[in-house]
Amino acid sequence: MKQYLGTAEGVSIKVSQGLTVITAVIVVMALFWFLNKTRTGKSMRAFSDNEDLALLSGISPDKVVSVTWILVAILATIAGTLYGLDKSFKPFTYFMLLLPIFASAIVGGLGNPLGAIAGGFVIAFSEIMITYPYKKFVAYIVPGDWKPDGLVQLLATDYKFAVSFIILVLVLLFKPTGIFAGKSV
Amino acid sequence: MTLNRNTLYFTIMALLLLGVGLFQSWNVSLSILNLCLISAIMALGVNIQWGYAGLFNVGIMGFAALGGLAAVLVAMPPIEGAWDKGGWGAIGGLLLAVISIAIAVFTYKKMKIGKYRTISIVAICIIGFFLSRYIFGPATHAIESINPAKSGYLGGLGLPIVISWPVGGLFAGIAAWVIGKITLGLRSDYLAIATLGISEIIIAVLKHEDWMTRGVKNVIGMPRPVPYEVNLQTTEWFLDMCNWLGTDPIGFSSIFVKICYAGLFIIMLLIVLWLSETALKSPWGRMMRAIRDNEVSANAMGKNVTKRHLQVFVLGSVVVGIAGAMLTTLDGQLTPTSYQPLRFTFLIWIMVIVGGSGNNWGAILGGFVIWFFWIEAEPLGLLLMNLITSGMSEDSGLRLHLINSAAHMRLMTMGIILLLVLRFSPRGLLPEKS
Repeated sequence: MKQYLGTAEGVSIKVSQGLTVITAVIVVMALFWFLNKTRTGKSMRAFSDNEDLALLSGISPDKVVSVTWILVAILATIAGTLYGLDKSFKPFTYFMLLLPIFASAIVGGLGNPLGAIAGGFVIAFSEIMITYPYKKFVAYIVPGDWKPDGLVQLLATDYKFAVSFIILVLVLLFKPTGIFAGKSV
Repeated sequence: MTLNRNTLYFTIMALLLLGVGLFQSWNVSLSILNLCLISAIMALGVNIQWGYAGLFNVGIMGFAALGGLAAVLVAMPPIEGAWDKGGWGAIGGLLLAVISIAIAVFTYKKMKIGKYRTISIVAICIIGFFLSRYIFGPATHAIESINPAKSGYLGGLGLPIVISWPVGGLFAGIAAWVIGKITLGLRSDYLAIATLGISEIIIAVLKHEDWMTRGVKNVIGMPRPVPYEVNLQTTEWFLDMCNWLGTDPIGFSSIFVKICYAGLFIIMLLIVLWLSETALKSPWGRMMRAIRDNEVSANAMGKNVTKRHLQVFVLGSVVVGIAGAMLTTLDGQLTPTSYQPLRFTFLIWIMVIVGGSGNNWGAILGGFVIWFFWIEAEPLGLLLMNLITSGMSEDSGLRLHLINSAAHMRLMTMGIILLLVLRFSPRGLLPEKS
């Protein structure tokens, strides 16, 4: 891999990471197919757009709600399993994940599946970019003896979830419906 | 009827505490009573938010922790040399950050919408961030390097710790104002998630900002508002009192200290209760309930729903902050790791729900009942398990397992109490008067 790419540092990809990406792509495709092509998915979207109109067109709210819950459970379980494979299984992991996940849903725009994906990317990348130790990165760019002593972190890793909170606050302040204008509040 | 029910429940509660005093020890009974009083105040705070206005706050832990922080900042003696070495730098760095945010907000309000505004705001934020980090970083490092094993933090102001109670309320109130300003007026879910987030962030700050709170090294040995046992044991009037009562001064001194604490807490509880009862009965209280029951019609009557919500959210958080400061005062130490959402957020919620949301007496009763069983579930569970397994042989695996897991009875007990109350009295033990 090193020779193939010609980089000085090795590039490593874990099996679990590859698995995560592939599964995520498949799940997202399946979800979009479900939401856009099947009857149940369409009725779900209709119900979320306008409850009264959906009721008038004969959509059963009970069914929509239960299908939504089942879908939510499936998606969350898949995500949890993948997270656990890549990181670790701990009973209290959920608590640390709660905030970033809510934040990404709101950042992207509630009620919009595309927004949720975009929001997830925004939150995850900003979390990493802000708490990443840039020491090595800087060392490659600047001439030899300028190498910094510290880790060159913008924010300590301990405050990782503060990042998602701040992004959430900013979005709520400036664009309460999210990037992809989801449902208005 | 309601009055009778009130008296009945509170009499039962008093008898339970007396029972613990008689059968276990007065020491245990009084320490349960003290924490019951603090829990009751916290539950009152949550009741103001949820019971009066229907605001869902899941960050009670954070507001309580801010109260604890206030106790440290107000009451601990200042550390020699820390202020000269880095104290001003740390404060200055923080001030600079606040000022740059203020300038950014000012620019946002004054400049015209467009590319230039965005660029200048981003520039102000980035410059402010790096400038404040530049001043803040070395200063905190200097503070933390002063005798890290014993101090390594700024210390406090060295004032009497009772002053920290209103200060704790003030801190919590400011935090609540910021959160409320952002999320109230939007959909109600946002308040829940924002309070959840801010409480975790407050705990993270307490854990990692060593210059302020010593982080996970804990601040211990905080000054007390009541006399120390050791001093009491050598004081003339105390020994006279023990003689008169015919008790042993060493044992009685710790009980006496707890009684002093209980007295202080009861005074606080009565003040908070009186204020919230008066508020609930006043036109303001009726308006709050009207807003809770029907926002749209309250809005149509010309009430500013968002503003009232902000007001009541801040008030409730102030009460929780006061209780948090009192809790740290009672413990005599600030241990950031001990702030668990299970203990500080969900337990308080159970208190409010079991007691009866919307009823101040209910919140107090809930605080007493839940805290009592939270503590007593363990010994009672052990007793129960011993009783159940008394027929089995000494080394039976099942018996050992049951006895060992008896300590986990408390969570199950909480669940059972909650389910029973919700089943037989869905609006709480003391429902809101309609």
